[in-house]
Amino acid sequence: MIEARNLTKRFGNTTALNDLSFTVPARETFCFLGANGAGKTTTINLFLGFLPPSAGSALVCGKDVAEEPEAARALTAYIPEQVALYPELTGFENLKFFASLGGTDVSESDLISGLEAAGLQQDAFHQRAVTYSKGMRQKVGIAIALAKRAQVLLLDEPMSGLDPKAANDFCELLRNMNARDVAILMVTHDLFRAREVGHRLGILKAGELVEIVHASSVSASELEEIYLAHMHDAAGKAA
Amino acid sequence: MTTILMKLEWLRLRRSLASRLVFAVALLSSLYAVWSGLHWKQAYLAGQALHETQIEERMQGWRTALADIESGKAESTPYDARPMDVRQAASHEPGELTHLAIGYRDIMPSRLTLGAWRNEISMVERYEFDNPLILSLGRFDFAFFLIVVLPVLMIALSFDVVASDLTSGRARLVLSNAVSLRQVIYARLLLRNGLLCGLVLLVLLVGFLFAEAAASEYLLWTGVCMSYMVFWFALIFCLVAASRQAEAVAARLLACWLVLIFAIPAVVDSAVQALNPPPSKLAHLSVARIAEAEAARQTAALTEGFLADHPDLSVGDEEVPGYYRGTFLANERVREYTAPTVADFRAAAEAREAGLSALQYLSPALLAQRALYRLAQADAAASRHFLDSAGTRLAEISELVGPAVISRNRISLQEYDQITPFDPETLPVGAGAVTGMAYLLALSLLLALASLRAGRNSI
Amino acid sequence: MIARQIAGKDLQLVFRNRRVMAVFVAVVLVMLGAVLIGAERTASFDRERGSALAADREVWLGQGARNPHSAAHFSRYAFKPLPALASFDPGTVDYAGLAVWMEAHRRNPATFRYAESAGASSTFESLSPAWVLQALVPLLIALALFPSYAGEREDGTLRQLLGTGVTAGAVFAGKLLAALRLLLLILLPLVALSVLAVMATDVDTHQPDPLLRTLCLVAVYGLYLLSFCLVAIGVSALSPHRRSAAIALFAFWFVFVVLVPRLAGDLALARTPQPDATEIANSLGEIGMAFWDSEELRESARQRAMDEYGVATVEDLPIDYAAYELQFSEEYADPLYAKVYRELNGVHAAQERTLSTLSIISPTLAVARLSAGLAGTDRAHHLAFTEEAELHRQEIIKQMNDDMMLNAGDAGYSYQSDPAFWEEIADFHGSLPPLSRFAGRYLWDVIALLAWLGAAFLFARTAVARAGDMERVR
Repeated sequence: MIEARNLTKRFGNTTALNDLSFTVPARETFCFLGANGAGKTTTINLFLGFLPPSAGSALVCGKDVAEEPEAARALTAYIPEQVALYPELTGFENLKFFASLGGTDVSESDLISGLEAAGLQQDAFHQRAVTYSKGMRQKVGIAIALAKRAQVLLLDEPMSGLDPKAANDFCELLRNMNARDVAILMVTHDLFRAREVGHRLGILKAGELVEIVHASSVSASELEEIYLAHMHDAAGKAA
Repeated sequence: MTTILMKLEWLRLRRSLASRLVFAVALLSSLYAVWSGLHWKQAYLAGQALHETQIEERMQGWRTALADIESGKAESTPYDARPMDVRQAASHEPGELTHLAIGYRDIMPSRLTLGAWRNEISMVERYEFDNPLILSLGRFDFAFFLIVVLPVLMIALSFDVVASDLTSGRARLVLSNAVSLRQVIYARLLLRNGLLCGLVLLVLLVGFLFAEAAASEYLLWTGVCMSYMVFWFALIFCLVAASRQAEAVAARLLACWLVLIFAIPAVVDSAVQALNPPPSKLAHLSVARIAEAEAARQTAALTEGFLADHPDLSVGDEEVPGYYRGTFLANERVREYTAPTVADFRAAAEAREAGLSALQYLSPALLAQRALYRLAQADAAASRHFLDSAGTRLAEISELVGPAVISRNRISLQEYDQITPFDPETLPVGAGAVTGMAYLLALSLLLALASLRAGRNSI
Repeated sequence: MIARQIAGKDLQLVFRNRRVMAVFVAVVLVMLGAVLIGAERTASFDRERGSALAADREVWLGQGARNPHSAAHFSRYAFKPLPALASFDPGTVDYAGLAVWMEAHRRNPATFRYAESAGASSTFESLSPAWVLQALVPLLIALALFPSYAGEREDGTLRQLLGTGVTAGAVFAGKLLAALRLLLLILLPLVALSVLAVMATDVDTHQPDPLLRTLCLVAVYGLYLLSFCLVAIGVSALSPHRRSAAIALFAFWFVFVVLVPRLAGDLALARTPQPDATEIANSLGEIGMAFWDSEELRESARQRAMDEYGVATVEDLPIDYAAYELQFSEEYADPLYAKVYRELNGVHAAQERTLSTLSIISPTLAVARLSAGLAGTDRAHHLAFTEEAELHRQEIIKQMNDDMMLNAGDAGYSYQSDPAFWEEIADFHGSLPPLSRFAGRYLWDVIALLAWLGAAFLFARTAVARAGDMERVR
């Protein structure tokens, strides 16, 4: 459902992503782990069609994102790290707008259910977004993604700013979406949540996918060791 | 998708204080502009009516006196019903749409008295009583609002149409759907500026209610206004699509506004004046006075010459004052002597007009203004045409009464009744408005194409 | 010390801002164009005036023998002298007439308005150095100063600055010092260009106090532009980011420099409508005929003449009575003409009082009026010309009537003056009055400008204090 084939992105003389290849089938969550500047957000941008690849291709449900960006995006839902809403609209109105942009015919009761499922408190539904905290905006972002009923979900640090309960509820949501045949690609710094929700974990280092780990085959501390080992290698090489 | 984007935009506009302010300013200032123009026109027509009525009443009296003399009811005197006193009012009627574009009407002469006592300079009734400071400030008419104010309001509504989305990250959420950045920009600009321009066009329709113009005039006027709005829409679209920073967009748009509305017209004006300076009015005056002085010295010889050229004339009442003939001959001499200067004025004006017609394409604002002024019969060409027509009529009256004046006779009632009211043909609108519209629309298309090729379609 | 450092840093940022420097260069170029055009135009007007005066004199002297009353109807023209400062600020020159016909039995308004033959675009401003300083330089100041506080706030450096213990007052002093230096740097080349142009403008008639006027102009524009600097600093201090500061300042410029002056003219007319030209012309015409249509007045003239010369009948008068009547009619009409023009002047003065009132809202209105007044191109100076022309008219018409009265004998209207007599009729040269004659007229505008400066300072000071509080609370 999500496929990268020799995906490469260069910015001038800098190679942000080098020959990245991976596949995320339906019902799976694939998490990218990596330091700042490793290429995680670049990967997301390539799958959203915000950047053209320098080489290779990014495919969503078989559609090449660079060649058919709008068709690919129609199948994709996205939750950014900072969910920016229209401050003069209410949470509900923001959701309604983005849901309609997503092309799905969602009833108002479904939108309300979406907000509830995302964990937003009811009295905030009809308050203007300018009054929302970061966490509340994040929840509306989740509701927007849910409303689209897309086959592919791209997440960029989705749990940043969420309290532990909200993060827990979010992980449960992701599992439910996997159960509905959604393929999820998530970039995050949070090793522990990644292991909790992900099926496979890819470690990105300086634009290269250095290792893929099956979440079920490692413990949290083992994962941390593997991750840090790669990061130390990078630091050592840099020195 | 465009509809969805526009629905959101409508919701946002309704809740934005700044946007409501812009619309309020547009509505109030455009309505004021129409009102101001109507107020001006009312005073203009009232003054014209006074001038015409005075002359009409006077000529009624003159005609009655002539009728009485011809019928024998009254005795002939050296002064009553003399042909020298035949006069006609010539008024520069405002166009049906002049209240929307006052143009040159508030400074050019518009009330003349045509008769043998006058020449081309003195036929203009004294009119320079206005406050020159108020004249220099200009009028706030609909044309000014459309050309100068409306683009600023469009820029105010549009410069931030995607920039705040881009900088806040909201654009990522929007563009993660099956919609392009260009679609978003287009939908938002279309709604905002469509509503604004629609409002202004409604006010224009209100302005039309106070006119009885031909359908073609309404269409042309509306066409020029709309094509000017379309140009600014296209320019705004082009610059918004090319940059992600609101302040950069605003700065560029405002720079365009300054250059197109102030800088280029000022430079074009200066250049055209420098290349084709108007002949000196004071020099024209000097020529006229030389002619007058010469005629005063040579009255007797000129009279003899005139009578020799018209052997059929017999001299009438010797008591008729000599200065009647003297003045008539002086005016004839002035016309003769100043003809080359008048031709020079005309040539310089035509050359300036040609220069402006060529250079106006450098500034859509200048182009639109000239088109609107022409449609409203408020440009310098309309005034010149009026003065030229009046000069022709003056010459005709002089030709009619001249023999009688020189020979100290009268013209007959029949001859007098053949003088038709002064009703010159309106200067044709010409193809200028249509050409202007076509140019503005073509320019808009080029801008749109440029933005499609060079503009960003992604964040 | 701290203020100077802040000022130095701010100026450095301005000079590194390519957009601001590009606009500055553009403004200097536009000013260069404006001074060249202004100087040439004024010199050209003056040459034209000189030619017209010479031609008028030539045709006057070449009349030959002629009845003086007939000559009085032909009469002379008074051509308006232009000051060299008109090349800086043409004021109302284009819209006020350039010549007055000084004929008998009539007091004519000034005629031949340059704007009528210009034939270009009346919507758009004509380029002059004064317009550049009034309209363009405030925009340049806004462009340079809008990030003064807002930019630092957006970048986070304002918080840092205040966090190091620098007081809000010191920051304000620094920003103000930077603005003052910037203003000097902007004004220096522009004023230099203008002064050079004025000095190079070749005119025949000179103002008695050009230095005083020039210094006052520099002061007026300095105060005007300083108030814009203060407004820019204040707006920047209150704005959360650069964008809103820029937009607010542009809106301020658009409303107060473009819109309000344009509306002000309309509002002045709405409040005090211009009397109809035909009605005024009628009044003047009636005055001209009043004596001749009134048997009572003519009888009183006869009586006066007889009393003056101690005779019992008009026929016994040792003078030509027809000429006496002509002069009597002039002396009767002159105060009545003066009344009509005084009333008209009263209307114009009332219109300008409305403009003065509105200059509380728009400093540009106040500066425009002061600038034209100091340059000697406003309506007050034009009025001085028309009044001087009228006095000259009365003088020369009397000369001609006296010639006929004393020399015609029994010839009456057949009398012809000797051609040498025409040389005794003086040309009208016109003088340019000193500023002291009009000082009181501009008091309100000076007060408005100073009030603006004071208000702008208070606004900036308050805004900056508030900005400091906001940063500390954040």
